[in-house]
Amino acid sequence: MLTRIKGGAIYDPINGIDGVMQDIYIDDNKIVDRPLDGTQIDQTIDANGLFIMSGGIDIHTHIGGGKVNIARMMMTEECDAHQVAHDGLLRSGSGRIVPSTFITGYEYAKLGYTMCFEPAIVPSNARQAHMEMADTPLLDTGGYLVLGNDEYFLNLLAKGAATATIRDYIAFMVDATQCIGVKVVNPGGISAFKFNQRALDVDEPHRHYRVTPGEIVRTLAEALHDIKLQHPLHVHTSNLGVPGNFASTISTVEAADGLPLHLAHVQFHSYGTEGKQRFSSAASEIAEAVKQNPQISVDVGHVMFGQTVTISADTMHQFANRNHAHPRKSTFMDIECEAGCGVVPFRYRSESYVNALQWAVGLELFLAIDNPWQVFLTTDHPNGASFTTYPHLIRLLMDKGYRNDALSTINQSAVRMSCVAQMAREYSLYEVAIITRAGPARSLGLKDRGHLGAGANADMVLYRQNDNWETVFANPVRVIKDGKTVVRDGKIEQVVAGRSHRAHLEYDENIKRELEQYFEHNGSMRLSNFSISDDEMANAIGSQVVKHKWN
Amino acid sequence: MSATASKIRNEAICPFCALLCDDITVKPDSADLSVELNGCGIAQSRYSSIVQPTCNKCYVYGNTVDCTDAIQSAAEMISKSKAMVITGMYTDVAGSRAALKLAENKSAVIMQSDGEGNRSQTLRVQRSGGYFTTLSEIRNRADLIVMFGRGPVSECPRILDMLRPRCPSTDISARKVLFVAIGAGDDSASEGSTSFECKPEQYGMLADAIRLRVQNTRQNSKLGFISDEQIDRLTGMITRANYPVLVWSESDFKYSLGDLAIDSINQLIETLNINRRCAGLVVSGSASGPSVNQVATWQFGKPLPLSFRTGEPVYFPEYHSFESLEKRQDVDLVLWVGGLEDQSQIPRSKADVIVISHSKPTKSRLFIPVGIPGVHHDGHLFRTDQAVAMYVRRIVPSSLPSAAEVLTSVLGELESSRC
Repeated sequence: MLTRIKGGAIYDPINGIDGVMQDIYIDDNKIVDRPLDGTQIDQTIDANGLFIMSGGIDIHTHIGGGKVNIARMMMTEECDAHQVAHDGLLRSGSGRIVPSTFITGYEYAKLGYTMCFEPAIVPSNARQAHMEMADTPLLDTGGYLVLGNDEYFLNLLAKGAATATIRDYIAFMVDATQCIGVKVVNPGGISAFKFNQRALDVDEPHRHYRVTPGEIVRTLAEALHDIKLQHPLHVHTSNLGVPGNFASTISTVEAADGLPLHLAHVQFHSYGTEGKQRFSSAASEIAEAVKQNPQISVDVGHVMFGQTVTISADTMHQFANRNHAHPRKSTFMDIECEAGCGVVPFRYRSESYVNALQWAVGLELFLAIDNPWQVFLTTDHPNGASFTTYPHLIRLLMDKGYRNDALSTINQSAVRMSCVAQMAREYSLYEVAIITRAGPARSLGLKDRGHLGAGANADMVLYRQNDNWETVFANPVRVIKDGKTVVRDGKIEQVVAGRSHRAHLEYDENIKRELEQYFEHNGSMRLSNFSISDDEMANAIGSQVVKHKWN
Repeated sequence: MSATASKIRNEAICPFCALLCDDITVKPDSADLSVELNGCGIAQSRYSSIVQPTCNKCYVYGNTVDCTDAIQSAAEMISKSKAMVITGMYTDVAGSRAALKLAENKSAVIMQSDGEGNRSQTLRVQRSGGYFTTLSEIRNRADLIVMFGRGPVSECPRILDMLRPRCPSTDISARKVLFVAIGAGDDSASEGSTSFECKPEQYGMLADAIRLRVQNTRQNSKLGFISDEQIDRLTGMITRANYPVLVWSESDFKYSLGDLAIDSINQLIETLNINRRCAGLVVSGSASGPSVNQVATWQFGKPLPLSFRTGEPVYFPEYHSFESLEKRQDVDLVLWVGGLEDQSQIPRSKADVIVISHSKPTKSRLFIPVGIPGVHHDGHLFRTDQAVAMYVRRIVPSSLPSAAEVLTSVLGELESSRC
């Protein structure tokens, strides 16, 4: 079926289109070139007075896996307070901060998002993460495999294994777990905590393996470059939330020796030690480092005031933060000699100096990083806030007056320690399109996503302009997924299943022989039962697989 | 099903307890299955008792019918029901997904038959959290394993094999591992282990006494059932260890205030982690328990039991126990979903009963046989540590449908007839 979307203003940064009135043509689920005159158009959608962007892509959101389910289980009061009944079309569920899977899919779709990436898939927990994402409707998904704290890798590194062996190991693991990227969380720190090491800076050796986070980052970054994984190493740097940690963040960039990195939720890693409270913003130092290193990208992990729950594989720092839990409870897990997890509920308070400054640091980063292709919009859902706050965050970026009004409502000591009030920048629609879809698509190597050119998947959002940008982005007029209208005027019209995006990598099969022995002696399952096939994904887990290969 | 057409299956995953051992060898004999290698008592017994093709018949009112008719009859019964309860839930992830969808569509209450068993630990996590570990971590890192009660070994007979290091020559596992059995009676954890006699009702007090010593707040307990010297010795073993792991099963805590004892063990772990490392492992018998709770939690934000009577997923365990529903006359149809259970322990009820399971119970109005995940069909099951889901593959060809297939067909029938 050929559909024409007529008369909208197009914001498509990948193709350099900035608000130009242009028709879009969709043939089934793909965007196509304008057909020859006389070709029959089956359906016309009037976009007069509307503007159009491709479907939103969240590059870092915790939507699936064991740690997310622990959070759901723990946030019982929150789930009870927000229950949603099923109707003829929509399944039921609960929760706003860490919603159940069906609700997650519906709420993302209502905001115009069509793709989401789970950033922390522990190898042995990959099946669960994919099953949860398969039960998240209306979204295409993918995941980054957590490596760099796994005993097998640390042993290889400690023993000075050949580069090729490390490369093959990583490629095999990404392939076997159906992932599209690799993430390292507190490099070496999760493992070090298992040896009762309570802190680990970038150049500090792991108590047992004697390797440093810097070496881990460099080795992983080199390996990803060699195996031609498009998305650079996704790094949750050392010293999460620790005052003065901006130095660790910059040291991590230096450790990678010019290789590309993506720094995750960098707001939580941009703190200095100035002032009476020994806690200050170092956003300008981080922004400068990003400017000086064009091979670096970041997502912000902005915080919003209110209740949330923090979820991380970084057991070392989550455990250290457990006394700040609100409500007072926390769950931790050491997982399969691969990683760990810590779940700590938290309430960000606008009257708190530290929390208010965290809020300001996020804005400073967005506003100080000049090149929008290097910064992506996230709240590190749900760590900084729920993804449902994105429209509010976009308004803060686009509307200086609104932003300054918000500044007047928070802890004033924090305001005095921040330069947000002096920052005049207002994001344009073109820049918003970059940080919410075009940038993530390019970073992940998704050639048919994040844009509206011919050949792109027909995922797009039609918005109506309004003075209040929060209203605009919270209420798309129409959301189109795979060529089908799934949301109209805030209501879900039809539900379609998403697909799972994975990397297609090559490796020397001989790596499996050594791994077989390791799994038998040290693991709790055989290698033959570890790998997830495309067939299992499609027929048992419930997601059709889309493979990506890069040269 | 033709068992003779099957081959010996190495590295099969045993689905009959929550350890999901994946190193067993299963041999199909002429009519039966037998475990050739690494089978524990439960595996030997369960594989050898699997009923072969003769069971592949549906029954309605005692009469044999074909599967299509049975599904239609089930849909008719369900469509007339105003207060269905789905229970048993001895099934895999796919069966859980289908049963939850049916419960949601028909405003049913859905629960595990042994749901009581996991409730204390669930409550603990909901209230306070905890610190847990997994099988590989224990195998590679633990240097002291403290096992409370007989439950872990009786429910998962190979648990000690799974927790012991297999290759002591690798650097991370080059260590001496001590076992301490608390209250295991004659079934002490293993040869050479240290054991302390105490009753399940005393586990909490013992954990509290150790915690107070760790905190240096009290050195004199006078518990009566164990001497202060023994508590000191046990405390010393735990505090000297680099990675002590405390293992328990909820089945040993089924007494009044058992949840407080579980709380005490968790508090001890929490206290130990302030300055050193320690973690817990909760052992559950059936893999279906962790599996169905994981699915319910990701799909609806809450574990079982769940009531969809109002359209929303309501979690109120005390109100939605089978007994209280019966008492309120809020049950007019029971749907038992099984496959992995040892025996169908269908609750007593005046209501009609539909059984979807592998073995035919003595009483049911309608019976539809299904295969066992990991024997007759593929499926996903969660292991006792809840961190790992395994893909259990069928080991014999079978014409038996899975529980998920039957439930999906019933749902399809309900939707097509707009029941």
